Amino acid sequence: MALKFQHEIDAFQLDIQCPEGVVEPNELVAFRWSYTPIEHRLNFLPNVVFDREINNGYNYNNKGSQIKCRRCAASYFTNIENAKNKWEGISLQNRLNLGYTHIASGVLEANDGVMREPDRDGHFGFYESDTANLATKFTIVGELNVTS
Amino acid sequence: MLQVNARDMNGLPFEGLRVIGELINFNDEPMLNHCQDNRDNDWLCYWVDFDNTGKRWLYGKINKEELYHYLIGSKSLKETFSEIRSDYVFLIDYDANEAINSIKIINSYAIPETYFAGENSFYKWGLSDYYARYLDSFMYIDKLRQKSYIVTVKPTDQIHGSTVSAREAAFVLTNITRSMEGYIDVTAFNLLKTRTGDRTRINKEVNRMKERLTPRIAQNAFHSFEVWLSMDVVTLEVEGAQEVEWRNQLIENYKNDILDVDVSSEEDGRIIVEKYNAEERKKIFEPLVRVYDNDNIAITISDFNQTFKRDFSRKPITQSFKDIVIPKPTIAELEAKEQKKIHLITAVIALEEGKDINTIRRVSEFKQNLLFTEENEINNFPINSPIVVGEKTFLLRKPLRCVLSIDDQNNFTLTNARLELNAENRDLSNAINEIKAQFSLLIEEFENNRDRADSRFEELKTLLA
Repeated sequence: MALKFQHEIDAFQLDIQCPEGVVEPNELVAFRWSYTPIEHRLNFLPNVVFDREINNGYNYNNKGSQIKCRRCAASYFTNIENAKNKWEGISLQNRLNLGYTHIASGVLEANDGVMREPDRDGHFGFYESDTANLATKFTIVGELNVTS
Repeated sequence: MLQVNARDMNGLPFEGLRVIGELINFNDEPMLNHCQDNRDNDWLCYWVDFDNTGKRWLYGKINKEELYHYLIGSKSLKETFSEIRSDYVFLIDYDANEAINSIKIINSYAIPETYFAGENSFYKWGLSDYYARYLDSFMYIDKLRQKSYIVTVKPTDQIHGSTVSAREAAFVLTNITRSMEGYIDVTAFNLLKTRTGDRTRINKEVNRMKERLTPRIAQNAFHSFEVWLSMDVVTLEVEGAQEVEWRNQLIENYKNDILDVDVSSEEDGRIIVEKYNAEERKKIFEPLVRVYDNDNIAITISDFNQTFKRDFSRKPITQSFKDIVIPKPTIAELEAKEQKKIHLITAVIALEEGKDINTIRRVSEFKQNLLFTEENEINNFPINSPIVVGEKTFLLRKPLRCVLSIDDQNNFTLTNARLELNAENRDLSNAINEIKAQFSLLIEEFENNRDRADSRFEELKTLLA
């Protein structure tokens, strides 16, 4: 499957297969932190691109191949509670720095990309396929706490 | 990054900091770490800010109790930092190469609001095996606290502010302890007697349970007087399924049967009487009634989970409840009580014929004429006939005999067990008058209820002319 952000993976010149250990989602209802409207340019970006866009001074030079590969995925959650809980654990300042204001939800299908196995926080990385148009499949379903 | 009014430091406030647990991560990067320095101090290290130059971390030294309450989810991450006990916290800025850019110190009360996590930032994963071992002493205390009754005592007058005297605090603790131990005694005995008829074994086991379960103070507060009392069912080992159930239900049952009772309700009193015999009620309820009846204090009792709350100043114990629940003392008990006396001495003094003892003024003269003394208890103090009370006069066949005692406060007590008369006063003549008044009321009761079977009436008949 060709990935939308393959060039980001290639730019790292990784010495490992990336991504590896991933599967195609099977009509998975997923959630993610979002800007509004859903078509906002900063939505659905893999972390490596998002970091650049918001001036997060993340030094990839110090990181191993596994980390670099994982950050070429975009972050999603398996349910809305997990998405909110994770958000609450972040300092308000960082929440303001990240700029997300809402939660979006949609159904991920096999031809949308490939995903890692969710961790204990219900978070997983998703590598979008070059044919996917996730803005048409996701809708805003709630707000994030950005005041306290 | 946020401009913070903080003081720069030249070096790190710790040495040898190592990560013990990565508690929260964000996109595979650590966000909250539990660390220890080379003096084994615990630190929470929290990523709070970033910009294109790097990241800022907040470092706060915490104690094991703070760490425990965060990890068991009873305090949020926000509360853990906003209520941190350390006076100071540190902001460390790392550049893009993860080298330290600056180190700042701020008062913990000055942590910027935006550097806190959200309101619902509770740790949701519980204690790992490692942290369960690391924090086991707090697990025990926390378990005790969760099984505590919270007793709050306030004075009824505010002469000394909201403080209660040490004597009153001790009075409350002693009597509640007696009640709880009485409950253990009664319920454990009733359980064990179904196992064996060996009284010695039963008593030995009951005593072991009482010793292990005697109330422990799990927490206290010094404003007014608040103490959390718990019976340690956590570590008590018992054998047998029923004993295990008894132990596991002990806290809840004591609450339901004994504490969460409306002491103004006769109905509740009758339920108690149906459940416990007189001796059992005496052990369990009599100490509590002493506490509830004390006019100098206002007492409330609740539990950790706030499943009940009784405010005994708003709904005080009533006489009718006491009369139902607390058995009247038997004659033997009254007489036994009467025998507790401070010295009363019979002195035999030689006097010249016609001389009145009141003429002896000097101790030396008293001693000169003293033939011998004998310590004895005056259990035959006569109140002679006729007994006059107001306009009524009662003729008796023989003196009304009472037991006279004096306590260490120099209070005289006169008692007649068979007629259930009891008077106490610092002045003996007032005590005598009180006995006479009670005697008069008893005769009135007798005359209005002649057909009633009452041991007092039988005794009265032997006295009245």
